[in-house]
Amino acid sequence: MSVNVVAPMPGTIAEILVEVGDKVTADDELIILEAMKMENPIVAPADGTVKEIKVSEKDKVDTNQVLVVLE
Amino acid sequence: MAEEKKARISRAERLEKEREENLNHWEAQDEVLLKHRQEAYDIGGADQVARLAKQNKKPMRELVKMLIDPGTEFFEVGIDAGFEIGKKRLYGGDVYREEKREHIPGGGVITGVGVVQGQDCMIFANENRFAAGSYFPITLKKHMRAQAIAEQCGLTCIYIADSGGLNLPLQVGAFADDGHFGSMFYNMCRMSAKGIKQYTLSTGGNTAGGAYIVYLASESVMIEKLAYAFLAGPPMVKAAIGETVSMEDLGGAYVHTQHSGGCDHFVRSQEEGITKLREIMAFEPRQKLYIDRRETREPKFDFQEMMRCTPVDTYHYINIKDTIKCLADDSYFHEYKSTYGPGRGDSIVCGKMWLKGIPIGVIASNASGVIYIEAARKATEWMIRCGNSKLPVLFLQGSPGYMVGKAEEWGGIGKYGADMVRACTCLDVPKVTYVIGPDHGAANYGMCGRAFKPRFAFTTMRGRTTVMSGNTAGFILETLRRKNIEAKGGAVNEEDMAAFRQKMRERYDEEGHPFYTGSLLFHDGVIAFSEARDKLARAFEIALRVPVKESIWGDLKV
Repeated sequence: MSVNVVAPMPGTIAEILVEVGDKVTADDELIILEAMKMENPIVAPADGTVKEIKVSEKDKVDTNQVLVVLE
Repeated sequence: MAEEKKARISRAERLEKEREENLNHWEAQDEVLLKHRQEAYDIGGADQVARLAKQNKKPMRELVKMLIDPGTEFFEVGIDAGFEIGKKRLYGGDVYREEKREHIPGGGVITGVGVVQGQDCMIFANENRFAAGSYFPITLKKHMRAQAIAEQCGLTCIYIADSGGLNLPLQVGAFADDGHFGSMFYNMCRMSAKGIKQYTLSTGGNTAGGAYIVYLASESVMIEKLAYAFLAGPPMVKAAIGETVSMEDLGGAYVHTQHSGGCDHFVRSQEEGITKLREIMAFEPRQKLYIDRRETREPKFDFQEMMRCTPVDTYHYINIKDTIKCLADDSYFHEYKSTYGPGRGDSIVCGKMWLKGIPIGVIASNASGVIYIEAARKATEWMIRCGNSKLPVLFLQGSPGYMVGKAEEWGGIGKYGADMVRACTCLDVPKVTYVIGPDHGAANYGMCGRAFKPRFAFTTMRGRTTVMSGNTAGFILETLRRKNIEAKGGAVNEEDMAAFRQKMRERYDEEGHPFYTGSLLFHDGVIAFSEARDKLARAFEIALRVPVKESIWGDLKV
């Protein structure tokens, strides 16, 4: 079963901390999303493997846009 | 080659790693703060102390110490005033520079709450180690602020006066306006009419209008051969009417206590003067504390834990409950609506706690501090509940602003933000604001910034108060300039533009620093982590010397 990690708010991808194939555990930081002058860490909601990264650094994203897919 | 990826770590691991870094950083910052204050304590250096000693005068800070009850602490307000004032783009910065008065640590007058005969009093003492204690625009601003606190909290005022009067080269910023020199006397009269006593010990010159600080007092004291009060000094009298007269015979202590009756008590030394003030204060009725105070319980976590939990970077996530647990009695916090609006409602944490036995409401920025609709609604509800229960409120402000964008606008973030602004305005309980992070834009208003008249406004070294962050300001100003140049058909020089953006960013960062805002008295003081619990509790204690009023909310939207 795959899990979509979505942007909680609109912003810009400041940094991607994982690569496809990485194993992650819940609460690991995946992406830093810059929004409203603040750096917001986006964390893994559950344990899994990074199946797909749907954004690149400096991309603008919207609320609920899928950033990473975990499996 | 791509840059090497940062090692992936969990949030818990990162926070753990940062704890030590945070502690070291904030310990160093608190030291910077204490050094900063030392400049105000030592203004004028040994030379000025020696000069005063020759006149049989002690430095004012020593007199304040003699005046207050032994073992009590002077709760100083506004000590950050006047630092590098000549470099500030406000209130006549360049005039200060021209007059070689560009750096006035402490702002020229010492103000704070001291305990005299068991009573909280507002004490004013002219800093006679700098420019003969004369009043600069910033001195007056500080004086007005202390009088405002005294009036709001019903505190007896004690003036230890020794001032050359208004600083003449800066008169335009000090004489004629509301809030200038005359307002000192207006405030004395009005407070006296409200039953708030005004006592003056004159220990130096009080010329022209300055003499009113003696005459308008409820009771006043003058010291033989040290204190003088007259409309015009001997040289001006000579010029005006040709009369030759000494200072002592024109307006000395004996003149006003034996002949004019402008002063009430004659003493022979500063020590006697201080004793006289204490005798006067012995008759003041006992102050109450208008709240149901419980026994104090120490928190389970100390201020160093608070340092560990506070990120170095102002713009990084903070878990404010970690700060609250270091402030609250027994580290106990009763949270309101803790589950409301997941991920959005918790950018403000609301609740209540005891602070050294005093029950207070808390409105605290959390995480990124960005205020969403849910957080704004929750904060407004909580302010209304605190007001209706007559519960004093602590605002822990660390918000860079309200959430922007179409979704929030359609949902009513403007309206709900306005509700917060109205609620914090009309919340008529003692409010204390403590800035612990970014303090920008409308969030400054909704979280009870200076303009919303909290009884006290403090900041940590982490606070940054500007209309927007340096980064955003750099971006917006650059965009405007770019448009402007292009509209005129010009070409943008990218190098110039980058330099401009950097300059704007640096300017905003500089202007938001606690020492910058403190120099201009946008707050009452920078509080060190080590002092936070004691000082915040003391602030509420002082603010509760008068009964808590009923809050009337006005035309709220819902």
